[in-house]
Amino acid sequence: MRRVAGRGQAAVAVGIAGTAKNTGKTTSLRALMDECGRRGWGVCVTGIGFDGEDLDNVTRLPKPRIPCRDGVLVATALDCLGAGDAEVAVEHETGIETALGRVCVGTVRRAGFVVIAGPNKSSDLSRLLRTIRARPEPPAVILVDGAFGRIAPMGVCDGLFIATGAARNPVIGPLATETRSMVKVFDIPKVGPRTGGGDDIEVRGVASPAALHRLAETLGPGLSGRSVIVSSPTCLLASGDPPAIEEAMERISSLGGSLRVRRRPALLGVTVNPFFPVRLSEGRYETGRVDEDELLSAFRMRIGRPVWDVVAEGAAGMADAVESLASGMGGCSLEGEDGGFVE
Amino acid sequence: MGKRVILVPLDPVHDIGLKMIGRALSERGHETRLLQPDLSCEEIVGEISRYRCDYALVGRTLGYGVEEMLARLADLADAAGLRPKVKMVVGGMAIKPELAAELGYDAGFGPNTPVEEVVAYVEGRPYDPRGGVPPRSKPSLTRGYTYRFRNSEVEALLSGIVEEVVCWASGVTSPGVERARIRSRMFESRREGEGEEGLAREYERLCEPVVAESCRGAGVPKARAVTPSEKERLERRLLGRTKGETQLRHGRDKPLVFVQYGTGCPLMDVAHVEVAESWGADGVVHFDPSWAARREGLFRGLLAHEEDGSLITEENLRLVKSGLGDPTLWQVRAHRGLNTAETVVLAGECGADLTKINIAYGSLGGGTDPERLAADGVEAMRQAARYGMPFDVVTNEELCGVPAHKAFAGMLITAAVGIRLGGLPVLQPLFCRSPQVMLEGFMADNYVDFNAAKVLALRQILDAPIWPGAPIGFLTHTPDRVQASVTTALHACLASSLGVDAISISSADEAYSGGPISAASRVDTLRAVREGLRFFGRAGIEPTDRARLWASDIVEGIVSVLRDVARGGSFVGALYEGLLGSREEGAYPGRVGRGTVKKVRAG
Ligand code: B12
Repeated sequence: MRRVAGRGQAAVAVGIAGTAKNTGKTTSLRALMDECGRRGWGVCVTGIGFDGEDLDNVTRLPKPRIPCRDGVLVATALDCLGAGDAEVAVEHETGIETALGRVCVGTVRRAGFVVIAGPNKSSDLSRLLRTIRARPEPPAVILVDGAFGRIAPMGVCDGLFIATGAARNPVIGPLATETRSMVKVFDIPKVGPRTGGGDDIEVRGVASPAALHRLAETLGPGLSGRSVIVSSPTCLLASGDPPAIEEAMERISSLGGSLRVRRRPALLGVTVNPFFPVRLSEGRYETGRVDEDELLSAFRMRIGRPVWDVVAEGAAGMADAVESLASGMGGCSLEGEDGGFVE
Repeated sequence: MGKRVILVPLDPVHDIGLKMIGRALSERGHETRLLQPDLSCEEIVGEISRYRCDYALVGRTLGYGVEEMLARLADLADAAGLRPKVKMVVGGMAIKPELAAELGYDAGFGPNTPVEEVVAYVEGRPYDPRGGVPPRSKPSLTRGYTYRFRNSEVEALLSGIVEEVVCWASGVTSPGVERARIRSRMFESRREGEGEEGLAREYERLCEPVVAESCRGAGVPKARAVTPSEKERLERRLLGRTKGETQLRHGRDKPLVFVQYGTGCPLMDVAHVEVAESWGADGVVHFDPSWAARREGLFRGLLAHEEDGSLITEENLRLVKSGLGDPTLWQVRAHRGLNTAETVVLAGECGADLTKINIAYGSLGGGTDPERLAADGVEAMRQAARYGMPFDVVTNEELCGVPAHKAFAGMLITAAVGIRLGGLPVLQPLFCRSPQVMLEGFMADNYVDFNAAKVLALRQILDAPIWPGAPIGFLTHTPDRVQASVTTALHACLASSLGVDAISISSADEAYSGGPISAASRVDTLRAVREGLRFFGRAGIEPTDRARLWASDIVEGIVSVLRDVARGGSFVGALYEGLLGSREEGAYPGRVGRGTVKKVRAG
């Protein structure tokens, strides 16, 4: 990996999706940005929400801000450019509209904080990724900051980290179970060259657990030997609780069918945050925390993916995972993958 | 082309906002469909996809659980592949644009969004908040006034006094008068492209040493130079900035609302002015530190003062001016010190719209020697007339304890001299709970009558603009910001009801800030005033009969003071003798600049 993606190589797009507010998404992003910087990788940072403000929109708790060093490429809404203290030389406007103005792409000329509000839906994110990759010297990595437990737009990334923790659920057992279910959803195989035949069932629109159960209800043993195809794991996760999805998957496979996805980002690992906000009264919050060692060991035992506490360990492991994803993609173009998105 | 719009109340009950928007859209020929409240996200996504709409307008009023629900709805719609076809917009009491961006919507509209703005968004047009009304232009305070006297006795008395003052002034000069003339010539030669060096040398000779040294680049006490990079950063920020327009008044075009700025730092001043403008102020007043008014000569340079009050230098004034919006009126005060006359020249050259001059207050409450301020004040009024710059004549000596009628007599003498010299004075009575009021119990029942009486009295005397100040409600404020805002707003409503031309208001923390005024407190009072003026509209406040009685008392009092002054034969003498406010009443003839007035040789 270098400053720029090699000739014919696509910049690898990696998202960081939180499962809730305050799960440490921005902290993980910062750690990963630092690590990328240390390794000399060219980075573009964008996000599907609104991040980088110093106080949380909802809880008013202080939030980690997003520092950017010189040369980092940012893609953020026009109204956010003046909000941070980094100096960003805008290179072009993308034509992607957001609630805070058009998304602009620019390079940080004087290091400082940035406020990021990029494309907040799949079609726009996919369009931005194409734009960045079409640059004469695309960056090696495009980091996509998540927002508020939203996951659907992340489906167009190549790789994904999930940030979860006590803010999602301060009880470690169910939290680990839920995360385990998410991993299983990301493990759903892609449609192979042979699937997609006449017998397969394509689920369009919302693939909620309820919809999958209805399918199982209607077809019963008729599902045997058939693939149920949904567009991506993120679409499944957008529509229901991970354990409920897992249950629906099991029901389908118990009937001899199997779930398949059209495309999927690689789930590279999970970051955990032991802190959670405790609401005291209207507008007043304080932070609580769960036992960190217990949290980490429960996750490491059950998740089947790398698990990090980036505050304690830094993001070397995350960066290694990004590097191996990128080398796995090799010279192959990603056009086919995200080009699959119909606009 | 008409759009298909689905209206989605994502709320257990509230849908009135959506209905209003829906009605406006249908009237414009769009097809709309309102869903019932209380549907699940899955049901809503199903409806959106079946309706094949261009826009889904989601409304949310309740403030609880907003994020989870809205985020889920956006994600579901994304997962269902609807987003490229359907624009998803969210609005309502619980929404702001940042939240909309964060939760995955194409746009977000908060409380009080004009329905027309939403319609414009759906139609893909830019929204014009003024609805095609041309931008505000700079208002005038003095237009339409004849400056004719309505009370012939006052007119006769004043004409004698004015002759005496003008005649006396033409026979004297002072370092302040000389500096004003040199400054004026310096600007002249700058315009003509000639050197200012010789004049500058001459100017410095008329300054006291610390000021003269600053003109040659030395430091200034309690101040530091603004760095070029600080200045450059400000200028960059000013570029490409657009200013919102808030209208403070409702159904009336008076009073114009002024706020003061004077943080000490000219860069900060620009920011404070911007806040004031954004919240609807019509004008801003430059406050300078009182110690600088007691120095002979004006400092030079772009200077940040470490305490309250921004130094008057050409560089500081020009910087502030560069940040002012086009319609904003700008007053640079000259009223009270040794630089009164040259401040008027500087203000005029830097593009100020208004200045402030009062000989009586400046010498009885402002610390300047009466003879000196009389000489400088007359020159200041000549200069103001030359620049066509109206000036208010403030009566702050009332705050020292001088009764209103005496303060008014002093104000009227200054104003009459101004008129005689071709100037445009603006009368500035105070709306305040003055020491006189407290002693006499004039406000035992209400704050309305005595303030109203002052305006009625002045109107009986002269057809001139009236601008209560400065700020209104003085001595009714407490450290409680809500209280201070309310009392300011009520005084503003009284001013509006009386139809005066302008008012000055303070910030909610001005009297008690114990340090710099905060921007938030400026907003407090501007918002409060706006709300008050909205409440009353063109309805009025009715004073009791006492207002009229007090008004005639004031007029009588003025006449009797003017008689005494006329009888004495010397305005300056009257100031020393206490005819316009005595030591017992709290007026002390100032000492700064004593003995600096010289007779000019005839010829
Ligand atoms: C009318 C009203 C009701 C009516 C609703 C009728 C109806 N069909 O909508 C009734 C009486 C049913 C009602 C009930 C309740 N209400 Co109620 N209600 C109000 C009230 C008085 C006015 C709201 C309103 O309609 N405003 C007028 C509209 C035009 O303004 P708007 O919604 O802000 O819309 C504007 C913008 O926001 C924007 N906009 C709005 N929607 C959208 C959508 C889009 C897409 C866009 C672009 C823009 C946009 O454009 C509009 C024009 O500017 C407010 C108090 C208040 N002063 O505001 C309380 C209020 C909203 N209600 C409140 C509450 C709590 C309730 C209840 C839950 C109370 C209870 N515990 O029982 C109940 C609901 C019970 C239940 N079943 O769950 C609270 C909410 C508190 C909070 N912070 O969340 C409020 C603020 C009252 C309060 N406590 O002060 N309520």
